[in-house]
Amino acid sequence: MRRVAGLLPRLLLISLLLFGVVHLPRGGPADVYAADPAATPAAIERMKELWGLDQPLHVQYWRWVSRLSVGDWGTSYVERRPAMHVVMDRLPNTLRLTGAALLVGLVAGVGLGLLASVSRSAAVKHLARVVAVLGMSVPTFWSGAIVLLVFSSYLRWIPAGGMGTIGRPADFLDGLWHLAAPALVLGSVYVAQWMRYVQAGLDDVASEDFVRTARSKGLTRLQALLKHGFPNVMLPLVTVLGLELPRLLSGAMVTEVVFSWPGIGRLLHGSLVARDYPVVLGALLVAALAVVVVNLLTDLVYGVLDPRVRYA
Amino acid sequence: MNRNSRFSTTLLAAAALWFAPLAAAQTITVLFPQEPGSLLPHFDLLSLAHEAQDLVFDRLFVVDENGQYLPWLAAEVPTLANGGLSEDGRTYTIRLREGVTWHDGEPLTSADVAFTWRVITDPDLPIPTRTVWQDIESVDTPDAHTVVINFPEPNVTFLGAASFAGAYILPEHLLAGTDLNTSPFHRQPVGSGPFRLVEWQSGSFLHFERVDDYWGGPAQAESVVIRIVPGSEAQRAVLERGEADLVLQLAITELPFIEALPGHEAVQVPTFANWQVWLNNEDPALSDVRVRRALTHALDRELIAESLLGGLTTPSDAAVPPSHWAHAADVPSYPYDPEEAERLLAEAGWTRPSPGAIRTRDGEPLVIEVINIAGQADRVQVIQAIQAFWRDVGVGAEIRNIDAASFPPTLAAGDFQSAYGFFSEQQEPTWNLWLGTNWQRYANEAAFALLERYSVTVDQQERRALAIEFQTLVAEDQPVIFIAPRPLLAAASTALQGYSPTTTTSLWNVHTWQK
Repeated sequence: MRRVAGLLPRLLLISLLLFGVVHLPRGGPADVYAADPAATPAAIERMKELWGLDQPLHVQYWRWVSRLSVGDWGTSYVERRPAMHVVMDRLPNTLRLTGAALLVGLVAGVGLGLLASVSRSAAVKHLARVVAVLGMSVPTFWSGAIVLLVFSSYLRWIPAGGMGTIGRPADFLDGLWHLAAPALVLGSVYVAQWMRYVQAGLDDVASEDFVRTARSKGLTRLQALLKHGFPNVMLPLVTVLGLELPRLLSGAMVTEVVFSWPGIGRLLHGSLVARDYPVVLGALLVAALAVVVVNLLTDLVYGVLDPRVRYA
Repeated sequence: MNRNSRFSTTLLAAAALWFAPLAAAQTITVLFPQEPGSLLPHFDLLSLAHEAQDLVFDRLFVVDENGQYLPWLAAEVPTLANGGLSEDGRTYTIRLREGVTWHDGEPLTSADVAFTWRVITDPDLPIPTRTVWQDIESVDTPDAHTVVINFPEPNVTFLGAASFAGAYILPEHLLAGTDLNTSPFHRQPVGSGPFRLVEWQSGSFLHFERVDDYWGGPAQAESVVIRIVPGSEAQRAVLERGEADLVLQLAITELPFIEALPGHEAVQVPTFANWQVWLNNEDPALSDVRVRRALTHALDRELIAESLLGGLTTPSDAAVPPSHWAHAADVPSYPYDPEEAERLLAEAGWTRPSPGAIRTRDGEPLVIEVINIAGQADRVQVIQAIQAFWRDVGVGAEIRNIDAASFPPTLAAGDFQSAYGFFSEQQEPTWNLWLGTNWQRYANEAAFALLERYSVTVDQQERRALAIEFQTLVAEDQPVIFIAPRPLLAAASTALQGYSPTTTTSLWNVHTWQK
């Protein structure tokens, strides 16, 4: 309970930092229009007055944070509707993409790690190492571009981005067809990493007494590692999962642009360019909240996975 | 055919049908690299927002692909000859087309035009441009189809402003008394145009359906889909799969790809914009006209245009691009001449301490900072070329990248030496580069006096003469280096008929398009 209560001051501090950082560069939302030959300086100044952007920064912060406390995130300067609606329209799409990428990373990572650890073949271990290096070293904007080029432009196996076929009612298979490529690209970064965690963890416990005992009772290496070794690997894996969330969100931003995925990352990118402060701050706060909550959940899951860990 | 193979064939056909996007022949798909923020006209200056608004709304006049005014909601273009424009240039009498209705069936009347003027000039609304409309003294509506626009002074820019992309007429009966700041109308517009918005999936697409009783006759296409695809890789994939009829605002770097793509053609969209280098005329080094001329002489702009701007454009020393009726073809020019550049710099006191070194004067090196908007590869390439050319004549250049929102206030504050970007003139020049922003801090009384005379001269030929005189003075003074007119690139399917982009919008005549 104490840990949950500790979230509030942490989020308040984060809001202050985010507000400061977002307002650090020169210019603002009205100035985006000022480069247009049709815009007049007087009209731009009036926009700043109407939006309260001519007020001192601390006044602007106080106004924003006090409204935030009653659920009002402000109005988007670009879309002219509540920033909360703008962000919430996109949030489920990002959750779908990052969730699928996590699943890809976990299933493939754990599976390959297990395979590399259990296998006695040097070729399999070598192949696993190559996969690991490739996955970690290839940036998603590049792998995404290659996937689109090969599988969409040439082979026509996957669509050219987007979340669904335009003009068709949304259905599960169509959604899956559109989701597969971006999820694989985003998840591939983690496949390598988690495979190496699992492999290294299993290799460590493979020579432990309890695994040797299990093997002497007649279990195969795979059975012994799965039943007795794997739970020991879970703890560091959960830690890594919690720590990886910010990287997953920033990776989603790139993947969403490459695959025209209408998620929060792409929204954030566009809103930053347009200096749409209410949307930028809303999206960043949601991301910050997600990180804080996942870290809290990670701590709580420790207690379940390892009975020695207890929180007051 | 046995039962198994029949089954397989049916299955394959079903799968093909299932996976095929529903891009029916009667649907025109247009790719936008960026999503419009709002479809309520006058609140968004993004040119792509205007393109989308063109589907739903109408202007009083449009400018066609030949730069000629066409009556649109107006029944005719007001001129001195037809009496629509008063002799003193202060009053425009506009007769509206009859039988035009809003999508909800209500008639479009002169009251809607007057309401639109009140919205644009409402000081309590965050409207980014009120140019020209704010100079109107009053709008009279003697009957439902006559609008009388009164200016206190002669005004020569109204037709340009009324045909400007974005100058759409709003429905008073739906918007009067509502809070336009947060109106649902931003995303659920009701207009008088050839299409109505039926679905907007944020970040994905906007789907428009034909309005059967459109005053210009029902559109040829049943629907238009604007698909939002920001990444160039995905844009390429969409094009290669034949899923788009038109792609707007392609990067110039995509030109070779489009030229090699079967079934598509690269289209150069006309603009009145110049790529240019703003020189801060109050900077100690750049206040000397010899230095400014030398910096222009040092650049091989032909080469830049050919290799970095896709060969789509030819450099000009005039402030108004050659595509514009007010362009001055015969102004002092500064062709690529490094020797002349070196001579002018030496004459201005900037000498090389040693061969190949950066020039100095009183121990101060001649190093010029160039501000650029970060994130666009083609801009960076041009600036690097400028940097290399200047370096050849002993002028150093340091590039400072800033974001788009920081660019205007930085230049407005004079906190710069030079900056690279583009600026566009209007159909009826408002000279905002000089009379409005004047980021270059140009100070030539004689030149500004010409613009003042221009703004009250009703006869177009006389205005043109004044515009040419002004551009000649500017070319002599070189307060800004004009690199080349800015080409805009689009890719169109060869099957698409009727697409004829103008300097204001590409979708202005979308109701006539077919494929």
